[in-house]
Amino acid sequence: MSFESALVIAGAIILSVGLYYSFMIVSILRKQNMAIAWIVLTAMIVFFLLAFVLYALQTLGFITLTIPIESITAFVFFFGSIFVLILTVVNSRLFIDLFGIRLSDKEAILKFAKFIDIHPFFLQSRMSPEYTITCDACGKNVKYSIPDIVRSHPNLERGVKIEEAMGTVNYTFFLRHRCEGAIREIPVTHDEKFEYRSKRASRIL
Amino acid sequence: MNVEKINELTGYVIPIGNGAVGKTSLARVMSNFTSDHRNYGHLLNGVSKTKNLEFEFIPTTLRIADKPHKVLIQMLVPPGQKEDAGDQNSRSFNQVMDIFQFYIKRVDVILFTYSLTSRESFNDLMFWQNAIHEYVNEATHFILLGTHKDHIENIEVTEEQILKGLDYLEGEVKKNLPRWVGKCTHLEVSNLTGENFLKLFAYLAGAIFRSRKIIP
Repeated sequence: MSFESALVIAGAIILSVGLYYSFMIVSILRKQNMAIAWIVLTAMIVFFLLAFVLYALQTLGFITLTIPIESITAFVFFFGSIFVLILTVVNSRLFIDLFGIRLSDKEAILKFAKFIDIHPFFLQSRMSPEYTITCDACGKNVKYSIPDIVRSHPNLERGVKIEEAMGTVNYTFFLRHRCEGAIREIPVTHDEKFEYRSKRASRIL
Repeated sequence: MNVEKINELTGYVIPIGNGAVGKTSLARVMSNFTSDHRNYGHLLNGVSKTKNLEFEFIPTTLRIADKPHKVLIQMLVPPGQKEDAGDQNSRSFNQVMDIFQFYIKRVDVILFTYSLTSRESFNDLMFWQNAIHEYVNEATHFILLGTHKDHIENIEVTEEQILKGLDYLEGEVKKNLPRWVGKCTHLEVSNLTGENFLKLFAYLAGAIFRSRKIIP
C-alpha cells in the first residue's frame, strides 16, 4: 500500500467520524428548524467520503475509474472550498449569537427603539446608564446597559420580552454574562421607565 | 333594660392569586389575629400548598352610624394552581371552582392577592381577573392585596404600579359589568407581623356591609 493510499484511507476514517457528528448536529438542529446549512454540509461530507473511497480503491488497484483521478481531486478541491465557506458562515452566525454584534450605543438604542416601537428620543437618557445586579452563580456584580442587551442579541426577539400586564409594561431582558467557564443568561425585569425591578434565576446557555 | 340590637351579616370573601403568595396564610392569620400580637410565624410554618377549597370563618364587628354589626367573614381559599399539574391529590383553581360552583352563590369581596416581592405574581393578576369574572356581581368589591410587606429589601412591586393596576382592574370590571357599583381599593399587609390587618378587617367588614346593602 502506497503512502498516498494510507493517507486517503485515514482521511476517510476521520471523515466517517465527522459524518457521525454532523448527523448528530442535524438531529439537534432539526427540532429548532435550523438544520438546512448542516444538511448541506452533511451531504458534502458524504460526497467527500465517496471521493476518498473511490480514490483509495483506484490507487489500491481494486477498480479502474473512467474519470481521471485529477478530475476527482479538482472536484474535491472545489467543493472543499464551498464546504469551508458554508462552515465559516454558519460559525460566524453562531458566534454572533453567542457573543453579540458590534454596534455603537446610538445604533443599539435605535434598533431597540424600533423593536419596542417607541421614538428613540424617549430612550436618549437610557444610552449610558448602567444597571448592576449580582450573578446568582458566581456572586459577582454584573453591569449592563440597554445597548449591551441589544449587542448581545442580534435577534432581539430572543433577548427582550415585552409584557403588558395590569396596566403597565414590563420588559424582561435576557442578560448574558460569562462566569465559571460558561455563558449564563439572567432574566432581568425593567418597568416601563426602564428602571430595574427584579431578576430571576440564571441558566447556562 | 335597654338591649342594643346587633345586626348580623355573613359575607363571602375569596382570595385569589398565584401559588405561594400567602392566601392560605392570610386566612389563617386573620382567624387567629389579635391586635396585641406582633408575630405569627408559628402559624405560617405549617402552611402548605392548597390542594382544594379551604374554609375559614372569621367573626368581626363593625360600627356604622353608631349601630353595631356583627360580620362573619367566610373565607373561601382556592388553590393558586392555574392548571391541573397531574397530581391526583391536588386540584387546580378551575377544577375547584367547578366542583364548588353550587356552593359559591355569591362573592362579596375578591382579594386579588399578590406578593410584593414578586412582580410576576402581580402581573399574573390579569389571569386571575379573567378567571374569576363569572363569580362577580354588581355589588362585589375588590381589594388589591399585597402580601410580604415585611420583606422591605425585596419589594419588587412599586406603589405606582399598584395604582395603575387598580385603575386597570376597575376598568376591566366595568367593561364586564357596566352596572357594577362596587369599589376597588388596595392594601399591603404582612402575614408575619399582622401589619395592616386591622385595616383589612375594617375594609372587609365595610365592603361586605356595602355589598349586602346593594344586593341584600
